Amino acid sequence: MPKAVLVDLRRCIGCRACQVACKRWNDREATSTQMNPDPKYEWTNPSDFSPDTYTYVRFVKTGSGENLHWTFAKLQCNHCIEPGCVTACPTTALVKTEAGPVSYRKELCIGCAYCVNACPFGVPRFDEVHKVIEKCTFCAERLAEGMEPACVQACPTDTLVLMELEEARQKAAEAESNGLYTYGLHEAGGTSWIYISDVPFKELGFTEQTGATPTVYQSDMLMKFFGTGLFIGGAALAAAKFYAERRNEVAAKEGGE
Amino acid sequence: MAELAWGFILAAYLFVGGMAGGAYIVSALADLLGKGKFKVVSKSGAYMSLILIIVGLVLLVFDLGRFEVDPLGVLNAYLHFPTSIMSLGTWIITAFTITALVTSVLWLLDGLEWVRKIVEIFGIVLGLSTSAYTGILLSFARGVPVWGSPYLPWLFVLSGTLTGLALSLLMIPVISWFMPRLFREFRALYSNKPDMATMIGYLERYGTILTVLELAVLVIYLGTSSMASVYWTASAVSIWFFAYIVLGLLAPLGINYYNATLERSKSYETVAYLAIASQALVLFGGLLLRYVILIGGQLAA
Repeated sequence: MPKAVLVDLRRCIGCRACQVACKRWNDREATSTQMNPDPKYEWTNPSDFSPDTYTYVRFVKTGSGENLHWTFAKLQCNHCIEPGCVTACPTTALVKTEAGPVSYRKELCIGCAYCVNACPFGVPRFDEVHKVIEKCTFCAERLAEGMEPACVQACPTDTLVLMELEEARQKAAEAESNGLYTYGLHEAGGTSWIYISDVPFKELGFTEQTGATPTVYQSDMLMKFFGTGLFIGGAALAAAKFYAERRNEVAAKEGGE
Repeated sequence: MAELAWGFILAAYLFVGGMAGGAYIVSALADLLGKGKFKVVSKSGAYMSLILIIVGLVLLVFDLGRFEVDPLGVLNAYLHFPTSIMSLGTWIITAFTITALVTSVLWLLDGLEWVRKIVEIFGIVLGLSTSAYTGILLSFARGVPVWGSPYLPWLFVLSGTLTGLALSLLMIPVISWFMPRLFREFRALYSNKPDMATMIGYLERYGTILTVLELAVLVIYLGTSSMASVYWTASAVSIWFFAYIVLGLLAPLGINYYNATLERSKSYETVAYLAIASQALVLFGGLLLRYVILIGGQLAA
């Protein structure tokens, strides 16, 4: 049964234990980082993914003065149910596993970086030194041993809870019917990491996504491509015909003179 | 803002690959429909499509930057069932390269006309696919919303065909200057002023049609993409965006129009040099288009 993580942002206190646990378990170097230049996110640090940063907590200020509200949003690969990166990968280096994780087999990667641009959530990052990509693994090797991902185990407030995908989707749907906001229940066809929040996700800097899976998105694009092709082809033929007729007219005129 | 995953070399590859497909389409159509009038153009287009696609592949492997680490690793792209548009593209480009090679050999032999024409019919489909593929690849990349348009691949097909046409024409003087003995027909056409003037007249007319279509599709693409303003607002690409429109589209249109008003046989030198300048601008514009779309799009992601 595929696993999922339910991320309840109402519970997060921004302790960043998940960031540290991820670095340690995955042997990611500590790198020199900077505070986020955007005042809205200024306490976010590191402020983006990198080949050494699989996860980070985005510190978001909404409102101001008396109404200032903090939301802490842990970000990582969302492990889509049908992942755009897997659909894009020309060598099957990226695969969706039955247990839930989108796994990356580095030995097959040719470093084309298509996944970087194909991911709707901007997760995979290109490692310029080794010419491969890096991203969160969902600690697939820990899941296989019946353990929780490192970040989930480190979380002191149960913001992150590992459960069955079906259960996570049910809980998110319930939250949604109670007027809360969710992310990952519908986006890009649904993801294995599903968020619940009392603040709209648009205000937390999450990108808006349609519910189309990559297959639906791409076949829709192809249909439109062929449709517009008929239109452009028609216009081209009409232009060619116009030119030919005009040429004949001119030729006839000149011949008549 | 993350570092750009795809940079200038990839833009150059998109340009060269699209132009290879386009040069083949021009070459094959000229041979199939031209009633023998465009033989030199057909040859020029066929040879250039082969050279360009090889240049494109070299750029691609070079851009991956893994050659020293894993020289044969790139072949992984062939080994898996093509669920990815990129592996499908790998097969399309491979088939296209072989077809361009066969066509070029048949042109060098200059016989077996019926075989060549059959090959060309398949080649047109492959050339169109190669040229469209570079755009479809981008349109499928959901992380870059401004690429998500069915007009983008057609923009690339039109630009590919236009630049392919421009290069085929441009290579006639270039080959006659540098390799007059190897390619006698090129030299013969180039030194025959009335014939060359007629040829320029024909090709400029087709170039004008393609440019107008490209301009129209560009307007529709920009008008229908919600984030397209990045192309003219992002400082890294905006100047190149305007250069593409002015130098790559409007200037060649102007030159073609002006050239058409001249008495070709009398002012042959002017017509010829203006035509060369116009084709060079078209090529520059094609490269700028890929650069602006590729870099600008990623900036807006």
